[in-house]
Amino acid sequence: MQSRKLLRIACASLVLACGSLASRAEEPGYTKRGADTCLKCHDESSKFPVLSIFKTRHAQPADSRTPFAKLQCESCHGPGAAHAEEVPEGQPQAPIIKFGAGSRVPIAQQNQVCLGCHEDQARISWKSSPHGGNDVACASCHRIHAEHDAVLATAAQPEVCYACHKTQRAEFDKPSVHPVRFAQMQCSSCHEVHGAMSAKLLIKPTLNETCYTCHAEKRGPVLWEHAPVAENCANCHTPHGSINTALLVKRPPLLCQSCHSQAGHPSVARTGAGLPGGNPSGFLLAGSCVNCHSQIHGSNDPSGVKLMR
Amino acid sequence: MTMHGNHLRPQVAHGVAFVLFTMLPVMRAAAEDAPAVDTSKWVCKFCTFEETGFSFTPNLGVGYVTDDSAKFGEYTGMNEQGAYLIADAAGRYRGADGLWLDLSAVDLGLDSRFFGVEGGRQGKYEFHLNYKQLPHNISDTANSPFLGIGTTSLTLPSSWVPASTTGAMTALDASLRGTDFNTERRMVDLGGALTLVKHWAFAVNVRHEEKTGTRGTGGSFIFNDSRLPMPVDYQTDQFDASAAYNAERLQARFAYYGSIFNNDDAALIWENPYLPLANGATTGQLALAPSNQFHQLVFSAGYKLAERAQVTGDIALGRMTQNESFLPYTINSSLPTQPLPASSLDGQVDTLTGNLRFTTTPVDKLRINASLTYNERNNRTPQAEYDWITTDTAVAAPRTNLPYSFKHTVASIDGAYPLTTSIRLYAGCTIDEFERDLQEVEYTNEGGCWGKAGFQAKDGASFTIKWAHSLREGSDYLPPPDTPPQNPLMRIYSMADRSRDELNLRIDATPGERFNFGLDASVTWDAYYNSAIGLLDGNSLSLAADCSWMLSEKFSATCYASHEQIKSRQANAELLAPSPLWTSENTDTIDTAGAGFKYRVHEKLDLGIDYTFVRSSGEILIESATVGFPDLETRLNSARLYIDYATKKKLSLRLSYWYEDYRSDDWALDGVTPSTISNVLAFGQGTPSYYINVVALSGRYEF
Repeated sequence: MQSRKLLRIACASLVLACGSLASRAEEPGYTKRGADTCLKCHDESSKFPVLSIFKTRHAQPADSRTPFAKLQCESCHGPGAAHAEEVPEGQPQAPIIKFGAGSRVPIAQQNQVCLGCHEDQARISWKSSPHGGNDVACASCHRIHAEHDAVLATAAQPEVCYACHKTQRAEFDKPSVHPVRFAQMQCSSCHEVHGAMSAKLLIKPTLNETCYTCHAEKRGPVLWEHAPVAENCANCHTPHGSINTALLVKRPPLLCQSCHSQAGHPSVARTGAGLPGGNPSGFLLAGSCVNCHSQIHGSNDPSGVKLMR
Repeated sequence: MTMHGNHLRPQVAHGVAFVLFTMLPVMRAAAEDAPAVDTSKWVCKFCTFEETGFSFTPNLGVGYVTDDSAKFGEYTGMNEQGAYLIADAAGRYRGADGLWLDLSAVDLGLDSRFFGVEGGRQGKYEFHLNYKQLPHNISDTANSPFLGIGTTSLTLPSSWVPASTTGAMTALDASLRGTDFNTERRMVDLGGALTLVKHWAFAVNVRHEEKTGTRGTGGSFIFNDSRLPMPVDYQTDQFDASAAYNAERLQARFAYYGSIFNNDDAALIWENPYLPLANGATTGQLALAPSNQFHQLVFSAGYKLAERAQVTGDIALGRMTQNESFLPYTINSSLPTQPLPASSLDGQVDTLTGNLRFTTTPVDKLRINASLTYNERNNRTPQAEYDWITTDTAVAAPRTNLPYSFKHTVASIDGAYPLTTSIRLYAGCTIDEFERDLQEVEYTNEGGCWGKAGFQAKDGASFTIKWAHSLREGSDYLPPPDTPPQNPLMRIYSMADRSRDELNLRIDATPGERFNFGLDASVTWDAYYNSAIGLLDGNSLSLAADCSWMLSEKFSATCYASHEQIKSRQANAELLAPSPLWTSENTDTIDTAGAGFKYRVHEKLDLGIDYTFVRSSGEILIESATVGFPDLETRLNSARLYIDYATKKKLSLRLSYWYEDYRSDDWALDGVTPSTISNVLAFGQGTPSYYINVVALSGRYEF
């Protein structure tokens, strides 16, 4: 009797195991014809045309990593059999995983679809980054179906970023700027938006190291350092834009007089009396302090202690 | 063995049952791993995959700029009146098995041209080769009497008559020549990536950059100064190489970054246009940026500890070095000097940067981040006492160099929790510690906390409010020895005690599917509450709004506007005593507005307009002054109109018109001729203003 009991248990187990396989095969409801099912509706005349995806890297069957080497549309949008079923006119289609604005799928779930393939060395700290931590959807910035994803193009990328970073648009309209509005730089020239561990998502570990990638002449080390320069470029410069030349946070001589109070000319109040028409002052006009202290970023001249050589 | 009746041995039945039980999870796993979906009928017959072949789309035309302006063409190269070539192109090759090649050419007719080629076999390897030029037109209205501009030796005309003041330089006007200040970067990038081995990715990139041109600097003899055209002739080579491992739980990257900067111009020498103040100082010399190097190793990794817990971190070890031969103390042979303590600096700065982050969701929906950041600059440059010949004119007291080092540590923790489906709360705290040596404040500690609440309406509208407060305090303010005495009440703002409050409001709304509106408002208050001299306080207000409107399939519009005000107060004293104190107030105000429209007139004709307005002003008020400053002013109006017409399926034409006017007033430059300042021989460039039209016609054809 014991043997029969065991046999029944074994058979039940086999049924359970096979049932598990069978249910996995049938669920979770993939379409019968894959992308062909989707494209019967989502052609160029539909409300959600998708054919441009075939000009993107996602539609490359030869690359085993891509959706079209796997479950085609349903690699990202999930099982679509229910969605593909016909419904009475006026009734909504069954939901499918939708991305971007208007999606009711939680952003974390949307992003997990992308991270399923793209959680790599470029997105190591995405989840703890300001973007990931604030539930920014991948589809907020990326247009997966577009032949040309705007956020990847130098000229178009800033507009994508300005959608959230509204004050930065105004900063790049100021008279003294890095050439973003001239389409010669993009936000990602300095920022690693997918989750660098540096402050402000900079491409290098520190602000100064980021600046030095283009301004290596200011890196040094030099004999006579200007302490705030070595510490933080942003002590004197604002990186996006300023009304002052060279993106300075304030107009010299006041900028310099924020820190320098030595007796003599550094601490003297400069007024409008020093303008042309009065007694034109070299401490105020032309380059102001840097007329003489021209090596303001530091000097390697043995006699350059005052940054004048 | 038979399955009939009682002939089944108990031990066999036990065995089968055991095996099947133990197989259950394996079979379940197999069900998950195996292609559970029957894709045998997924033929993708409607999939419009790109066919093998080559396509090429050039865009050629001509444009015309109506006036010269360095400011208008500051970074584009459209700085001169006249016609220019419009030449862009895009090429595309798609082959079998993921083989691809893309060509891109942008603005080939301008100094801001770009050309790039990239390709590879997708999923296996990739490469790229890019060439980019970037001009920076600084000024086209400067004047200088110096000869040899663009070289490291500036001389004066033989007719030059030195004088004590610029006004007395009788040969000045006749000697002035127009001098354009501009630089140009030329960059070549070559790199590639390999993904041949599962889980591994390798990448390498080499960039060579040359930056050449002329820009302004200054050189003085005591208080007699000359603005000098300085040559720029830099080469920078940058190297990146990385190996990355990517698996489900672990991602890691090991990378090397190298940057080698070269400047063959060691010094700028110029002839003194003034009568020497002393010791026959007729020629000056200043050091130009020395060649230097930076090398860095970076390791970063992320590991998923559990489904809801991840730890990430990185560490970067770097070294900056500089060992260019020193210039002599002076080129004035009449001044006595001691031998230099060394022939070169042997400068070395070691950097160490590290981050460690832990992210977890310990209970349902509560997300917590904890992080620790460390940044160290260890300046190992040797200290020595150097003679000091001030401005090639006089012997001054020797000075010892101060190689600055610091350690910066930031620890923070923050969390997010959805109170309801429509309300999410965020909060966090940060401790920021800074240790410096050879500076006024050895140690500062800043602690702060913030809170944020986000409200999400069902129609997609959202409202967020964030408030942050931090307080920074430091150790005693003690100026380092061997530095000139400063006012004892001075507190340098980067190290001063400070209270900071920030408030941010944000609204995003989508009233209807076709209209979006967003508003961002930020206010910041800084109080340097223990500073009597230096920066006293600062506050800023920023309002920025934008909208987009898709009126119909044919018509869309966008708009934006902003207002920003940045205020600060500072104080100083003309003597080392606390009084007489003077204070100043600085107010920068920037307003911007813009709008754009796109209209499809019919299927072959598109029309678009973009307009931008920017106005800025800088107000400086010196409280004790009897004569004030006029405001610094800029005003920009820019409008672009384009008409696209598709003549055939593959040919389209674009006619565009761009109008821009810019006006600026800057008291530092307005009315300052080369001889306006008695002791500064200035460039005399005015503030930039222009009124420019650009008309362009181009055609794009797809081969």
